[in-house]
Amino acid sequence: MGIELSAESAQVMVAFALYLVGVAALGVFAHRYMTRGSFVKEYFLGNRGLGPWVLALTVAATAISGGSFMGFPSFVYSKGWVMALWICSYMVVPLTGMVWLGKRINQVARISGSVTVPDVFRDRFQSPALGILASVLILIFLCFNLVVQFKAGGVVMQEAIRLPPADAIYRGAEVDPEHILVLAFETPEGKTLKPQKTPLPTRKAEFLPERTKVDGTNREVRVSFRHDGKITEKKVRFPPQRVAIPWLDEGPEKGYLIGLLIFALTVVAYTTYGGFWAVTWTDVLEGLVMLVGVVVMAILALRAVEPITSGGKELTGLAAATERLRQQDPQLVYGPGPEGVSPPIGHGYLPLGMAFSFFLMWSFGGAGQPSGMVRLMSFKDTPSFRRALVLIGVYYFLAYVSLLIIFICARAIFPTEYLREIGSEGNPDSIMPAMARHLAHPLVAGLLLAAPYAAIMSTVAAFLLMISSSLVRDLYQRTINPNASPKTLKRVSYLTTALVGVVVMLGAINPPGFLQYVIVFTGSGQTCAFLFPMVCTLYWRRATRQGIWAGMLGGGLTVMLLYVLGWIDTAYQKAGATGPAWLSWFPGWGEKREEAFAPLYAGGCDPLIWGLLASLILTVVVSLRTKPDPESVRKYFP
Amino acid sequence: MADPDAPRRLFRHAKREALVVVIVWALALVWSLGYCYLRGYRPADDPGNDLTLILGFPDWIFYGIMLPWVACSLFTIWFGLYGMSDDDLGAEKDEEGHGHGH
Repeated sequence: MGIELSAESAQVMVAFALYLVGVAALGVFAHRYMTRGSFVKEYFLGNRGLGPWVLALTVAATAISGGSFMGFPSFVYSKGWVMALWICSYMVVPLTGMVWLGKRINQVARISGSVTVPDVFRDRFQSPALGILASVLILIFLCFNLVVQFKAGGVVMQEAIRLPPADAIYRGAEVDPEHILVLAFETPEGKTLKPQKTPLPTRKAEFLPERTKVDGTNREVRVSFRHDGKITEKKVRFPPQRVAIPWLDEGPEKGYLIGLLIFALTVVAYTTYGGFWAVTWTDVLEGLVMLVGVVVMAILALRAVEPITSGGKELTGLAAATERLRQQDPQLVYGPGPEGVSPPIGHGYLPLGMAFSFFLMWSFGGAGQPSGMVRLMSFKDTPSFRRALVLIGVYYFLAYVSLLIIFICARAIFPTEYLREIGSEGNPDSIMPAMARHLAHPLVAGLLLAAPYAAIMSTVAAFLLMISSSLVRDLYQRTINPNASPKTLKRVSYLTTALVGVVVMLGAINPPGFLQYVIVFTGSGQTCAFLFPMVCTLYWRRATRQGIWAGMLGGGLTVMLLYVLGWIDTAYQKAGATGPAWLSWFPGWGEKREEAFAPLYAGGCDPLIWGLLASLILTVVVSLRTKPDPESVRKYFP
Repeated sequence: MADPDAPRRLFRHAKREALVVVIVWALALVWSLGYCYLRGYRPADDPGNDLTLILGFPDWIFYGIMLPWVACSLFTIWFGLYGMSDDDLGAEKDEEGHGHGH
């Protein structure tokens, strides 16, 4: 199949390709480097040899995922300054994420020779079953997460490639009852294509069919509306090129599929080939690309905001952006922020309970996710650890403040263009690539686009490695075949990493929407399952195997339950029913939700809060009612 | 030879440092959420004409988020450079016949 590219896209792709070549070179270098010590420990843990810079950048690159670069920007763009409060617990994440567990988990892992997080649980309590439970929970949450991260990777590539729309013939348009203009198209062979939809500029706007112009060379239709006596014109692109897939009714967009393939191939190839060191070295590169990318973008964005006069003073830069936001909608500069899309949901975007939930989400999530814990098991000595802490403190401050500034400016520059409810150029999720293209020369834009791509790539690589380490180390080496030779282990490791990557890619061909919800779901699920059990495992002599079992299972299941109840409730609401009476007493049942994937917010709080509570109470109570094994207490508590 | 008290010392230091972080965490939580809720939350129909800007930030964002963020970052830098102790992490358990301690 032929691929047509515009000159601008070609330049973006060149910059992107240069970046990928750098990544590949690092993968090869890492593979060469991987010669010392035991294969499994080297492949999954880098032989506990991380120095300060590498440790800092790898922790940062793993934590900053597709969510930070795609989801968070779209929220800042559509909700305004209140998002600063939403994200602000990153001010303590370097401390909570590293200091709470860091030294002690490294020490315990050295005493037992643990390589993975399930290893730590299994060895500390002499319980293979506990190790398997931990592995299974990690597998469930990470697989969900990976599909969405792959999707984000594919979307960024799609934006970089920007294929022109399909060759089609325009067959007229009409307004549907929901005030959305539906444009019909068919292929040159006469086959009907999926219609393109665009919301009317306002509810009272009138569509003017006689003024519609079709531009066959640029493959777009220009439609006109009249509202408040004014006539506005809007461009609607022809339907995207699609690829037929036998088992799907409607194939995915060609641009997305190409993007996904490029993404999956690069990530899977280098993760499989280089293991922990490849992931770590590319993390270093990616961590730097991300930081430089957002800081440069923030400076460009501040200069791109047009000055504005307010109260007799001329405002420029951030002040001008904030003033423009205030004029658009005062709620953008105050809490709790604008409501979700219609129908109104009732309490503003970030009521106090949710602000509290998100403060805990990021600050505890940094400590509670196994992908972060495993990084803490790998540092070399405490001076490296302390210096890494300093670097991460500076890193998060620069990265998140820059992101906030960029997308506050984005809202001032594009007041409505990327808002879903008014709809035109695109939806809020593409604000990041759009800003990159708006602010810089295509070559620089390519490098800026590499920042979110890097973020997604490093998270995916780390998770991919977590999953295959769970399968190889926790299930294969320690349960199925304890006497496997190093050569067999090597083969099984490569094979599993590659296989998991391919399976996830197939899942991402037709992925779910709701990027941010899935990321929050898997993050909070893991935090609830692992944070308190791990804290007790490391610091509490009285912790018992049964207590950890109960806390892990209870925390994880509470989060899952609240999400599942949310989906059930939303499904009932869609069908216009209230659901069974025995469920309606549940706090949060029957409330309106913005998306179908949203959970039940019992008591106005995120499921995270309830999961953490359940996990803490169960771990402590069950531990106190059972007896610890004196042998392991002596071994791990000197 | 390794110091036999080293593991115990690390455990004590790790506990103390974790406690310090809990205190910083709680202070940050109260400051940010408290200040922003009291000074930055307005009813939906408020016109917001009295917005004051500091360095381009709305004042409640500046005092409620940027200031504590800078304070936390400075504390993190201090804590990493001077506040935390150095400890011996112990030797690696030999697993597959190629041990290598640190």
